[in-house]
Amino acid sequence: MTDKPAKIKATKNKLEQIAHLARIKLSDSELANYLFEVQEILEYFKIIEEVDTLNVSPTYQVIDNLQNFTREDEVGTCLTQKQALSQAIKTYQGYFLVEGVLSEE
Amino acid sequence: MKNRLNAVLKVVDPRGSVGHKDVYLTCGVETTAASKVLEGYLPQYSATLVLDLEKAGYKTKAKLNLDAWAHGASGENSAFGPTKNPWNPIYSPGGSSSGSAAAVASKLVEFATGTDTGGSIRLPASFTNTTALKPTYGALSRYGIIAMASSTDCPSIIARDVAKLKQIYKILAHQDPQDPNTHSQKRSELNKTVNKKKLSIGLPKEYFTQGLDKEVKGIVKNAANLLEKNGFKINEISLPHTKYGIAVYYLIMTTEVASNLARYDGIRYGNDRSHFGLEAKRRILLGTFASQAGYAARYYHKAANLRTLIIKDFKKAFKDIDLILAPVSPTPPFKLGERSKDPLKMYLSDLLTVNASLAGLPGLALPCGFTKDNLPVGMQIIGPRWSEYLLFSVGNKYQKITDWHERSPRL
Repeated sequence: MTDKPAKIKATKNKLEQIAHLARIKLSDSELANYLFEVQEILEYFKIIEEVDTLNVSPTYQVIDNLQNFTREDEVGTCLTQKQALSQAIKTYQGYFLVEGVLSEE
Repeated sequence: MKNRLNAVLKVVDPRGSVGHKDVYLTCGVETTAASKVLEGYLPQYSATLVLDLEKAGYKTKAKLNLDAWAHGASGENSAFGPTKNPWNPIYSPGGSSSGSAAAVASKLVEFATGTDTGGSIRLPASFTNTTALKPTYGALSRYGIIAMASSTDCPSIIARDVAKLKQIYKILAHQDPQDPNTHSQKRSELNKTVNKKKLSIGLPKEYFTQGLDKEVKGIVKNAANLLEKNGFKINEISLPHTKYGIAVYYLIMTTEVASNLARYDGIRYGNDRSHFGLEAKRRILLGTFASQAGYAARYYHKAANLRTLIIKDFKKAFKDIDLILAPVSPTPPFKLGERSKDPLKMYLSDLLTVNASLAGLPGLALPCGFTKDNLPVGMQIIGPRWSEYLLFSVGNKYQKITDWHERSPRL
C-alpha cells in the first residue's frame, strides 16, 4: 500500500510532462482520470516483455523492397495562395498568423 | 434524407450513389473527421479515391459518421453523436466506420468508403450484415484521407455483396504518385486468376480460444463446415504471437497517431487542440509516452520487434494454406454505452483484426449468420499480400451458396 502513492506521484509528473510535449492542456480532473487509464493500459502492454526479441529486427513498415521514386523537377498544379489561406482562422497580409516564438527581451 | 440512425453527417447530393467516411477530403464540402477540431473545415482538394469514383460516375451522396479520427470500435467517439445499428438501434454498428456500415445496411447508399487501420471496416461490416474489404496495405491511395496510423491505414470499401466490392476495387486499385506506398511491382498479382482446384483454408486455433463467444464460434465454424462441403480443404493452423497483437498495435498505432495529429494546431486550418475529444487525447498521450526518450526502447521499438514475429507467423502459415478464416469480433454486437466507459475493454474488440493490419494483409469480411437475438455475425477471410483476386473468388462462391448477405434490417 505504501508503494502505490509514490508511484502515482511520479507518474503524475510524467503525465504532465507528456501532455506538455504533446501540446495537450489537461485540467486537474482530466489529469487524474487519464493517469488511472494510462497506468492500466501501460500495465496491459507489459505482456510484450514475455517475448525474447534479442535477435529480431524491428518492422516499421510492411512493404517489401520499398523503393524511392522521383519525378521531374517541373512545376505542376498546386493550391493558390488564396486557397491555402482560406481555412485559417487568423491570417495577416497573405501569411498565416502564429503565436510568438521568440520574446522581445 | 432520413437520418434516424445518425449515419449521415452531411448530405452532399441526393442523386449521388456513394457515401464517404468523413475522413475522405471532398473539395469544398465540409470534412470533419467527426471532430470539433475540424468543424467547419472546407478542404481545398479531394482525395484521389473520391476523384476516381466521380470519374467513374459515382457521385458523392453523403459524408458519413465515424468515431472521431477513426479512433474507436463503436461509433461512440463521434463528436456529433453515435450512429445506431440498423438491426437494433440500441446496439452499436461497430466502428470506426460506423456511419459507412449503417448507411450501406439500411440502403441509404449503394456502397461506401471507409478505412481499416486495426479493423475499422471489418468490425462494422460484421456488426451490420454487410460485406467489406480491407485491401492489401498500399493497394489503394491514401492521398487526401485524414491519416491515423500511417503504417497500417487502408482505405476500404463496404457494400452489400462481394460483386459490388470487386467492381469498385477495380476502379480504385491503381498506383498513385501522390501516395508513394502504392508503388509496387507486385500489383500485377491482382490480375491473377484462381487456378488451384482445391483451395486450403486455415482456422487459427488462437482465434478460437475460450475468450471467443460461443454463438460467434458456432456460426463461424458452421461457415467453415459449409465451405468444406463445397470443395475447400479446412485445416487448423497456429499463429503463435496472436495474443500480443493488441499491445503491439496500440503501442505502434498510438505513436503514429500522436505524430499525425500534431499538425492540428489551429494555425493553417481547423480549431485549436482544446477541441480534441477524450479518446483522441488518450491516444495522443499514450503515443507520446510510448515514443519518448527513455521509454521508446521498452515500448515502441520492442513492439516493432514483435511486429516482425507476427508477420513471420502469417508467412509461415501461408506456406501450408492458401487463406485464413476467422471470426471478426470476439463477441456479437454490443449495446451503445456498454463499453464506452472502459477504454481497454473497447480496445480488446480489435483482438482478431489487428494482426492482419500489422502485417499489411488483405481481409474480406462476409456476413455468415445471426445470433438468437437476431444480431449479425460476420467472418473474415485473410490472404497474403496482393491476394484480393483469391478473396473475391472465395467470397463470391460463399455468397452463391448462402443468402445471409441478402437479408435486410426492418426499418
